[in-house]
Amino acid sequence: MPESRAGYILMKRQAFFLGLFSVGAQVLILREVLATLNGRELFIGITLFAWLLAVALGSFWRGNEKRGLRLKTLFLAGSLLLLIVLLAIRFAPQLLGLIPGEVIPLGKALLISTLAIFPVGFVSGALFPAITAEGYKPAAAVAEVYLFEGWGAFVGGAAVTAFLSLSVTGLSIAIIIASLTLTFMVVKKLNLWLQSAIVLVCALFVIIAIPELEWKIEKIKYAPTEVIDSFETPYGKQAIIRNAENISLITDNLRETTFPDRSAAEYSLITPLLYNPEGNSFLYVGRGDFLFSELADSLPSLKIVCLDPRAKLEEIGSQLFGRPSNLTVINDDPIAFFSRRDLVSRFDYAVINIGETETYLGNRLLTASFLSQLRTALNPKGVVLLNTPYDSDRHISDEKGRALAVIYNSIRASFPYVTFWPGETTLFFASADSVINIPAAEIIRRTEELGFSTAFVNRGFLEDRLQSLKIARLNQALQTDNAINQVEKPSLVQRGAVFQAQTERFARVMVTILLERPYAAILAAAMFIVLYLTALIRRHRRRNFALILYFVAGFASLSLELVSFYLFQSSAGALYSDLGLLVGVFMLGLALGTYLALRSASDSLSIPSIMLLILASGLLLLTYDSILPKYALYYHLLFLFTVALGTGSLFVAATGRYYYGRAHANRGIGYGVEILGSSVGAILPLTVLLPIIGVDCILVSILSVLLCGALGAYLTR
Amino acid sequence: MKRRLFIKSVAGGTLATTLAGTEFLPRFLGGIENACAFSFTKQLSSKEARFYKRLESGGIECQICPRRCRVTDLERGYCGTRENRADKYYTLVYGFPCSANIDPIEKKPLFHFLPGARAFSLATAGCNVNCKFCQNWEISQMRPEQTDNFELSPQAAIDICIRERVPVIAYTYSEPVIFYEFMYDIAELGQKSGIKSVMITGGYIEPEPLKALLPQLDAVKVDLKAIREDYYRNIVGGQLKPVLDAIIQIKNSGAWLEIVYLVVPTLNDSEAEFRDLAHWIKNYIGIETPVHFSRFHPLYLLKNLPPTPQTTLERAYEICRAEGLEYVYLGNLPGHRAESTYCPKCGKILIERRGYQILQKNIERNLCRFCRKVVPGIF
Ligand code: SF4
Repeated sequence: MPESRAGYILMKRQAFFLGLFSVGAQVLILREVLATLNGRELFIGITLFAWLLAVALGSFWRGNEKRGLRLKTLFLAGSLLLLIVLLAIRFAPQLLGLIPGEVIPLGKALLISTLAIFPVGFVSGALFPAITAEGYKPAAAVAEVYLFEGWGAFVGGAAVTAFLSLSVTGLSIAIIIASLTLTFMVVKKLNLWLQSAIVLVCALFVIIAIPELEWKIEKIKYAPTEVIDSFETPYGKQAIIRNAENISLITDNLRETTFPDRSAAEYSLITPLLYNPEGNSFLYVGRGDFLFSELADSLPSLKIVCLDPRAKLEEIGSQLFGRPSNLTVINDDPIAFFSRRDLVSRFDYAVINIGETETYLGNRLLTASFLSQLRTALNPKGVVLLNTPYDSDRHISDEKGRALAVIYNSIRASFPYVTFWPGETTLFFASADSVINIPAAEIIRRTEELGFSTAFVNRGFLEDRLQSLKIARLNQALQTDNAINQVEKPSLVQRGAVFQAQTERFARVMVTILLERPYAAILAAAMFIVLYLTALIRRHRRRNFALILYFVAGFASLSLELVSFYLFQSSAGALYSDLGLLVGVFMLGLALGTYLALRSASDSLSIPSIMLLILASGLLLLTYDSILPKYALYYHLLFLFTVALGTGSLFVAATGRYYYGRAHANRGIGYGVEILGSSVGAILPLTVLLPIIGVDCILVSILSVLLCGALGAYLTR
Repeated sequence: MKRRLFIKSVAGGTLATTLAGTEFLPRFLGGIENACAFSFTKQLSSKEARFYKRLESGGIECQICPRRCRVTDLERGYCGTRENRADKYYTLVYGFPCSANIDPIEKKPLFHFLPGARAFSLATAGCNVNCKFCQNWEISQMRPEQTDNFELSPQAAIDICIRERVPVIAYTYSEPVIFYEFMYDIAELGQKSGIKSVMITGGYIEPEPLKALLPQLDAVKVDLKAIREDYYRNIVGGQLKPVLDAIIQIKNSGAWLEIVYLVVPTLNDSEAEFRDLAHWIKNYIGIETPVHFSRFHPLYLLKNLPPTPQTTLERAYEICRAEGLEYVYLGNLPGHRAESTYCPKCGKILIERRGYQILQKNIERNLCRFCRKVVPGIF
């Protein structure tokens, strides 16, 4: 127990701020990494892996230092590092020598995603032993530190989400967190009123000065292009930039669309009309108001509806381009929109412009189930167009062919009639009706009946584009893969990543090792089996098996957390804004599980803990695909909390077994094995295995590991 | 060895009965099928390369392009298509192209060379530079074993052109300089059969091999990527000076020459650059040389740059016209007036284009139909 009441209160406060700072910093860095690396959620697992490693190293370093850095110094360093790191990530492309407009190659993206979080993670790791060591008896203080750290983590995570919903930017939130931490943890001698006043001044500074600073940062980042606006939405970070008359929408550092872009506008808006000239209601999934504003007036009889959840962009779009009278925007997420059973409008055309296929956010609109929902929103002769960025005009590489094949298979799973156009962007058309089955000559003839002059969709270009040779080549490429893209198994994420990796030798090798030949998974499984059996048959089975329980706790917690993130993103799409809350609730559950387990003092907690994890995972497996998007957040919060409770108590159970009777022992081995399990859980299931074996198999694998854990715990009880 | 019959799959799928059924070029398809069966192979050629020297210190120096790669045994040059085997240098792509198409000549673009003609277009894997905006990076930045190649002898290429009545062969997409020997032999055979050869190149080639090659070629389109050395260094991965020298050499050889300048927003689109370009063309290759300003489309490593604004292209056009260049075109802007050819003397339209289509042609044996001014080119 703490030596005095004042010390006890101080310890609680320190633990609270540790949690608040750690989770706040972790979430802010993860979001900045996402926004810089084109929203590719695959990097979340890698960044979390780096975080765990950094925390372990920091904890190990501070835990072994008799007179290590003081808590004050650590909080100060952490706060400053957080701000520096956030700015460094934002300027990472420039720091890595990329030119404006250049995509970040995978090798450099890996570097950013691992190195960026390391300094803050290290400090965060060092804070825990520093708190338990400063003036208190470590073993007795641990439970309290865990609990208050958990509360702090919850408050930190929830605050990030709450601030974001008030349009406060990541950098501003980081300054608020840093000022809070510094005021309460570093300049401790001031009284509460003064501390509160300092925080208030900092908050005012954030409100007044930070938007100006952010604006300057964006200007430097996009120079020499003019920045019109820059802001965050629940789905990512936006910038609107102008070069001469061209206005481009940048989402997560990636060009999403440009106005004017006559070619993209014509291919998206006019080509579906060629298959069904009678129709007039048109649905565009995405920012059609940016794309079609120059063309919509030429087709006055067409009623265009654009579906996109980023309401702020609608406002800006109408200011910049005006709003054609026949174009309306529905500010709704497409998945949520189609999940409503009361959908009354039916459309003659639906268009999805496919951007990057490596993000879960983009990928969820290309799954067979989403396309089936889209089909129900179409009139009987309705036509769907999927406009892909893949060039199939002159040659089609194996990797590109496979990505295209997955798109093709996914449409064919939902529509009986599918056809495609080769060209500099490959187009797929689908319908429930045979309107699709018309010869190319007829399509070309119909371009002459549109009633207005087209620049790209006309005889001159289409005769070249629709040559038999090119069609035959594309047709052949579409036979090279039979995977279907699904939420359960997002094959397109993998195929897209493999294709993109071809731009760089290092990436090519990495992707081949990780995604095409997943030896790492086989190796991990083999190692687990060997260690499992060894732990069971060796002497001191009860104690030795505790190491397996540590591993299971780490593995299950991280892999289930990431699976939950993936499923949440696939359903609600708002991981960017809700990440804080999800992580915060998970950390609270972890702390509460640990605290309750420590308080219960029972020595047979391992089996109930694992059973709780099995129950949560089993329920997730059975129900994840039947949850409506509007309930997804609550569902995943509940799931993460339950998993964290189980993990926390399992961790305590393992500690009770391994360190039985040695309360003051260095817990490095147990902690190390848990970190190992967490690292495997962070990298393997989501980054490597998800597109290969799918969510169901991953959950079954996790359940198998948990069952093994439960069986072992029973046999060694 | 992987073998996949290209044509077999045409029978499958809904599309085969719809789009493929239209058969714009049905005989071409059959022609290629017969000539090379379109069965892909990972086999590489072992044809001795030209223009290299053995170094006294051991190894080989390739003398095809200004990189002048020095290559020890079993190593390859930068382009990945030439290999030193026991101090003998081999080209690995001779007779093994990875891409073949029939394109309108306007797609190259060549505007003063047989307008409306079709060109049998060939490419192998590999390139001697690495432009960050490359449209064909999937073949240009690969080694030949990483692409799907098919066997096509120079004679087979000519036979396809004759059978399909395609008057031109274009060496294109990647960089023909790196498949020099293959291009040379096809062009030489083509001359005997009346098939014209055009090279679509970045112009990064040494004077000697270029001198030997030019008599076999009828036209050359050079992608002059910028008029600044640092752009070549940072964005292209090459040097400007050898390209300028090659352009002058091509012009002096009498082969038909057209220049393309891809305008990449923020990187090579300043007025000063357009003016310097116009000066250089005027001073070194003449105002009658056609110059095309192409619109950049975001690709490969520069996916985050927006397409070139139309006004930027129009500024380039105005500057070059004001500097006296007679044939300036804007590419990838279909419907724009600067797609068409106008007589510098009477201002009347000589060739009206819309995309790849020729809408009207007012040239009779290189003369303007209205004022009889000589129009340079091969019409
Ligand atoms: S042709 Fe290839 S091998 Fe020869 S110098 Fe150029 S890059 Fe090097």
